[in-house]
Parts: sequence; structure tokens; C-alpha cells
Amino acid sequence: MTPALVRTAGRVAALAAIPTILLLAVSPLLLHPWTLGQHNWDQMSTQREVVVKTLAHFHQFPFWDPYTCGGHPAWGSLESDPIVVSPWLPFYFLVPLAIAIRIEIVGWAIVGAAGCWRLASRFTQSWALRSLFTVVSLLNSRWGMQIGAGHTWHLLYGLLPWALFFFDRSIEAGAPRQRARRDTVLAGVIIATMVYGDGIYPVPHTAMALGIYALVLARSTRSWRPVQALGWVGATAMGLAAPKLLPLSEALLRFPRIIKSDEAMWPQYLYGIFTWREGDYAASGDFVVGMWHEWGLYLGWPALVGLVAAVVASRGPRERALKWAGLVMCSFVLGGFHPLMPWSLLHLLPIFKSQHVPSRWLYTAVILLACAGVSGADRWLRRFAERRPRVEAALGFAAVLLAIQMGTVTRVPIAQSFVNPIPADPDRETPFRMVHRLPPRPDYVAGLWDVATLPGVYDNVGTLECDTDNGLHITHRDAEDRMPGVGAFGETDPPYRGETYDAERIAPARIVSWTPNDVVVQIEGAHAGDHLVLNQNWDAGWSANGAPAIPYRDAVAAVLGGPSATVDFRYAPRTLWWGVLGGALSLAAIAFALTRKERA
Amino acid sequence: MMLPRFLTLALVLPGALALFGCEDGHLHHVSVAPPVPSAPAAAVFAGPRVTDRFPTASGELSVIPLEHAGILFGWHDHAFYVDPTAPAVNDPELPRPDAVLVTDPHSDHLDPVVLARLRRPGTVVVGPPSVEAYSPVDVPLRNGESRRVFDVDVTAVPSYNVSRGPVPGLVYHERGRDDGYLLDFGGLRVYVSGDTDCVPELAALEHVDVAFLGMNVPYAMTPAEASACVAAFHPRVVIPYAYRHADLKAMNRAEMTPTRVVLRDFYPRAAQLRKEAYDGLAHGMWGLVEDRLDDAKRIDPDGESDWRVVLTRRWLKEYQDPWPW
Repeated sequence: MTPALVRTAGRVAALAAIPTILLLAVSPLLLHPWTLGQHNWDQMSTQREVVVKTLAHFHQFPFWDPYTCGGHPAWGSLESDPIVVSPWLPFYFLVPLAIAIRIEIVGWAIVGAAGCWRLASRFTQSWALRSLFTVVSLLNSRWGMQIGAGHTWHLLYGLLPWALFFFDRSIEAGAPRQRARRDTVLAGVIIATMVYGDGIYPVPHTAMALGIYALVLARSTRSWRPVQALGWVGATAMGLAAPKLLPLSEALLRFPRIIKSDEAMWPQYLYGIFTWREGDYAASGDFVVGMWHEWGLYLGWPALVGLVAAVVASRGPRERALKWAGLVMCSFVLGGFHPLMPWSLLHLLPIFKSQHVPSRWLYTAVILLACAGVSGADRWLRRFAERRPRVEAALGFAAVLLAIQMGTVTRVPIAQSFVNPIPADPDRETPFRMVHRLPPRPDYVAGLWDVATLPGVYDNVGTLECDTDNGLHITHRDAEDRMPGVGAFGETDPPYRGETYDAERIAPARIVSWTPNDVVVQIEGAHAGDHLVLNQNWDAGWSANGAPAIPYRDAVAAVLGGPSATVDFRYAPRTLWWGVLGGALSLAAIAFALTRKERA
Repeated sequence: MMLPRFLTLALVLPGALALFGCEDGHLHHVSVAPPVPSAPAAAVFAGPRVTDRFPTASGELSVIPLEHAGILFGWHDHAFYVDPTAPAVNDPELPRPDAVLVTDPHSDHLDPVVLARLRRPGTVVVGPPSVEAYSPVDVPLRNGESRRVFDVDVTAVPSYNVSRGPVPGLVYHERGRDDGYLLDFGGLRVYVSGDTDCVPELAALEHVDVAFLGMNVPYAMTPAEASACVAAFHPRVVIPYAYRHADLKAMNRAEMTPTRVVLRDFYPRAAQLRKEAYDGLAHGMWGLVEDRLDDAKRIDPDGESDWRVVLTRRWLKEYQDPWPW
């Protein structure tokens, strides 16, 4: 075989490895396209359907989700409205929900694969190494298990390699200033996209990765440039994400997401995480707090040994920065079994206080370490000189085998989860009503908490029990066995008095028009001073005829001024326009920075 | 010659490991679906979960308190569930239901999802017609009607509020909508009240051997009202249930004499949660320990004085404040 032929064969094999693992991983979705996922997928499907229904049927921006938890902010929630600012939104209007979800999953995987390829190309020109990096770090079993379990925020890790790629290129010595500026902006845009996509874990993980990378690199190179670039990336990201961040902060101030996190990863089990061929996302074990999808990250022995060796072999300031970032994250993975463990200390800080399951850091750590490993492996390859094409070809074929080896595990949890039939309902606009819990349906199986919400969205029926909001969650109960902050009642709750009512009297109130963000109520025969109540949870964004609505036992209410009234209850996050202003100013500043001519 | 060997290794090693892999011996597979009662009835009713056994003319009636308004009766190896809700019935060590009696459609008495999961071929669901709007009912019983279900005569007794409601003029439980039940187990007459006030139909009951009286404050009788009610119909034994917000110490025992008052734990989840907390402590899962203790405190505030809870809280405090200076 001629060297050219060997090189071509190797490249074809290397390239083939990526679609191989991707197709294996998502094959259950392609083979059975008309199913929805289990576990947390009811919540995820609901959030997406709420967006589509509010935009398409009510022609409103999805500020408020009236369908779950008795009503809660959608735009201001940590995990709601994940597809509003997303490249996949058009598909949700064009194709059925199940297909759109598949497009989103596969789409993010392809974006991630492309990002891995580009990122690895910063450290090697070898097709085989870039392919191995993509296979090992992106579509390992953790990805499959998280998607199977319905943690759709995990999809946004597909943007992490892009953020790192643009950041790394922006601080490259000798890079044209205009390109460096553009790359800084692009890294910020990517993080902002993660914020809009509700990347509750990918965002802080990416920020931490870039932060450690910049700091270590600044120290190694004795230059402030990485830190400076980091500041610009952060400012760009926060500015562009301001329309989401401000309402989100407002909601978090009311319902701080503070989660205890004492999960520990006993070091003796670390080998098992990488080598047990277990794809059951719901598997449990002696050391597994929760389920296996939070722990397992199958690479297999060959990849693990190769990865460790390559990381050890890597040299250079950028590689050192990547290794530091990866190792710091690995130290978080060990968890919080002692108050002075790294994770216990980090968990004291804002943002990280809201996170748990420290084993989730492992996914990011593998990406960073594998990236350093690519550089180390490239050093080996350079030693082969004229035999390099053959070795690369061997590595290319090894990448295919590895893709098969890993992909067969990655696909298991997706096949396990995507078995739910789709509720055969069109979207309805029948009079809205709230129930405590939806009745069971033979064509739809509830999610993890036994609470189904998706059929309610189709039927225009709200549910009280939910797991779609941070503050209001079925696992949070007060002394009355109700979720704190829930002022709405389901029609099977004893205090239920309709979707709107006069709290003090039995004066009839009726809903004249209903949309998620705007409900008009008429009442007659009331007394001045009575509370006119809307059966939705109160939030500071609600207004009544333009004035702030008041909370009446945690429900939305207005005080009546006379016996009859027409009250227009509207919802919009209070800080939205400040956020939009911040976003617009950021856009203007970015446009100015990108179009500014260099002084000669 | 080095290259072919390298190539062979590169191809064969991952392939072999991919085929044979590494089996884990530390994981086990669990279902995410809640477990369903599936134990043999005879074994359950002969076991330690039974809190009361009442002799009847044709066998023994066993009683297992579930949670809040949930009660399980065992008779002739048949399991009769009253108002089963989750998570109390997410327990494979409970028996398959032969009959389910629902007293009212409110969410603390009827969980349509749980009821659908409990249903097995042959399970008979009895309830007032108002329940049918939320869940299928096999034997709809209006107030005053009777039916025989698995050798048990079931009579629907009116269960309603006279004036108790969110505002004057409205009541939580309208007359005619809900059922209490008078169950005749081989001559042993057992009354289950549901959420009701001491209405005339209840006060007029006669020859009740065992009465389960709901004290579901603020939606039903208070303990003081229940005491007066007991004095009106004189059951032999009264067992308060559905008493989440009621102070049972407010019952007037003297007024209820000669009725024997039997207190049973209808909120056993608190004990279970505390047990999980102690187990968690042994495994160093501090956050879980605090969560479980807090959850248990919400269900059973009195249990906070238990010495194990006190000690565990002390350990947690030391964990949260580890610095000696």
C-alpha cells in the first residue's frame, strides 16, 4: 500500500468513527421515532410544549407557565423555556414534538462533535487523534445516560468545546487583533446560548474550565492577556444573556436554589466508573448516591489507559492549564465526604451552592484532560516520522472499534428511556382549569415522580403537582403537605373555589378571556375591599389593571374597589426590560468593538 | 516488523475488551416505577404490620393503618383498602387489593394515578358517584345504598360538612357528594367516617363496634367535636385517623366513656424518614440526613425530642461548623 493510500484509509476510518458512535448512540431514537422519554422527560417535553403552545396558539412570549406547579415563571426559571433562544426552535413548529426532540438531541451532538474536532485541531493535525478525542469525550455513556434520564441541559455540553476553542484562539500569540476580538465575542455568545438553553450545569462548568485555563496560562506565560480575555468573554456572555439572567435572578432571590451536596466518590470505585459496561441509567449500587446515570462514564480499559498515558505525556503551558483544570474538576468528583474537601468548599460559594452530584464534573474533566492528551499523543506520533501515516491509520481503525465499543453502551439508556407513547392529543384552548394531579392515561406513562404534566398542556389543564420548577417541586412540602409558595388549588382540593373567585364572598366571578400571560376577569355583586383571586401562584411579575397584583395566600389577587369590576391580570417579569436594555447595550458594544478600525 | 504488531494490538485489544468488557459486581438494576402492592394477603395479615385484630363470627379482621386517611382491612384473605394514596401504598410488601373504598374525590382521599396502578383484574372499586369524574368506579354507592362486596356488606353513610367551609355559605364537603362507610365483617360493624362533621346520620348510627373517625382539621371534625360525636353513637372502639393537623390530646376521654379509644400511628413515614437519616449518618451523607430529619419533623414535630434525633442534629451542627476557631 502506498503511503497516500494508507493515509487516506486512516482518515476515512477516523472520520467514520464519529458518525459510528453518534448513530449507535441515537439509534433507538431513529428506529423508534414516535416515542417520548421516561424519567425526567415528562418535565422536559412539557417545557418544550409550553413554549410551542404559548407562541403558536396564544401568540405570546412564554413568560409564564400556567400548566405546572399551579403556575410559575417560565422565562425566569432555571429549567423552563429551554428552546426559545435555540437553533432548534423552528423545528418545534415544523414537526411533531417527538421528532423535534430528536432533532435537538442529534443536532447538539453534531454541534458538539464539530466543536471537539475544532478544539482538538488546536493541539494536533492528526485526524485519528481528533476523532479519538471526539469519541472519548463527547458521546461516552454519561452523555447517553443523562439524555436517557431526561437531563436535557447535558446537551449543551456540546458547546463547551466551542467555547474553549474560541477562547484559546483568541489568546493565541500573534493572532490578528480583529480575529482575536471576534473569537472573544464568539466565546461569550456561546456561553450566553448555554444560559438561554438553561445549561444549569454546563454554564458554571464551562466558566470554571475557562477560568482555570486562563489563570494557569497567565501564570505560565507571565501575561495578563488570558485573564483579560476571560473578563471580556464573561462580560459579553452576561451582557447578551441579561434578558434571561435578570428575570432568573429575580426568581432565584425568591426561591434560592440551595441544594445540599454530600455525595462522595470513594476513590476505590473510580476505576469502575470508567470501565463498567453498564448502561442502565437507573442502576443503583452501594456507593451510588442516586442512580448510575450520575456516575458512570464508560470509556473501557484501552481508552482509559491511553488517555492517562497521553495526558502524562503532554507538555506545554496550554496543556498544563488544561491538566490543572481537569484535575481540579476531578478533585470535585470525589465529593463532599469531608467539610474541607474541594467540593465541600466550592459548594459554599454562590451558584455552586445550587449544584449537587459533584460526579457531574467528571464529564467536563474528561473533555479537558482528553484535550491535553491529544497534545501528548501528538508528541508520540511525531516520533514515528515516515511511519506516521501507518500508525495514524491504525489509530483511525482503533477509533472505529472504540466508537463501536462505547456506542453500544451509550445507546442502552436511550433505548431504555424512549419507550413512552406520545399522548394522541392536539393542542386545545378549552377553558383552563387546574387539577391536583392529572388522571392516568393508558397512552401516557408518568415520569420519575409519578407526576405527568405533558397531557395537561395539550388539554389546557394545569397541574398542581410538578417537578418543573426549582422553587415549587413535589419533593418540597410544608406542614400541610403542600408545596410552599403554591397558592393555586386543584379542583380536587377542598379549598378549591374555581379558577377565579371572590375570596370573602360568593359573588360570581368569571374569566372573560384566558391566555397564559393575560387573564381578564369580571365580577359583580362583590363588596369594596374584597379580594378577587386568580387561581395561579403569585409572583411579583403579575399585575392587575396595570398595578402590581397582591398575593392572597400565595395566589394572584387584586383588591376590589366596588361591587363590579373587570380586572386584567397580566404577567411579565419585572426585570425583563432592564435585561433587554442590557442585552441591547451589549450588542451595540460588540458591534462597535468588531467594526472598530485599528489605529495605524 | 514493529508496525504490524502494533496494528494488530491496536485492533485486537479494544475489540476483545469491547466484546468481553468488564462486568460490574457492584451495581444492581432497579425500576424507576413505584412498586405496587403484591404480597400474599394471608402472609401480610399474619405479619407484624397488623396493629389491631378484631374477632368476628367468621374469622378475624386485621387492620393496618396506612397514612392519613388510608386504612387496610384484611378479612378472609381479602384486602380492603380505604382511600389509598401514595407514597403509603408504593410498597410491594402490602397485599394486592381486592376492594378499594373511596370516601371522597379530594386529593388526600383519591389519587387517580395510584388507584389505576392498584387495580388488578377482579379488584372492585367502591365510591360515591362524584369520584367517577376522576377515576372509574365499579360500584357507585349513593348515600344510604348498600352492596355486598366479597362477603362484606358495605353501606354508604352520608359524609358532609354542615357549615365548615372557606367562607360562610360554602362548605368543603357538600351533602350527598361523599360517602362514609359502614362495613359489616361477619357481624362486626366497622364505620369509616371520611371527612365529615358530626352530622345527624352519623350520630344516629347504632351498634358500631369499631369507628374510624376522621379529624381532618380544618376540613372535618376537630378532636373535641369528635369526642362529642362519639358520645352520641357510642361505638365500642374508636380509632382516630386522618388527624394530620389535629391535636389528639384535645379529645375529651371522659365524654367518650365507655368507648375505648385506640390511638394508632397514621403517619409512619416520619419513623421511616428518621431511620433513613440514621442510616445516612452512618454513610456520611450529611445533607441527606438533614433533609430526612426535616421531612420527618414536618410530619411528626413531636418526634424531634427523640434522643436519636437530638444526637443526630448535634452531629450535623458539628459538621456544618467544623472550624475550631
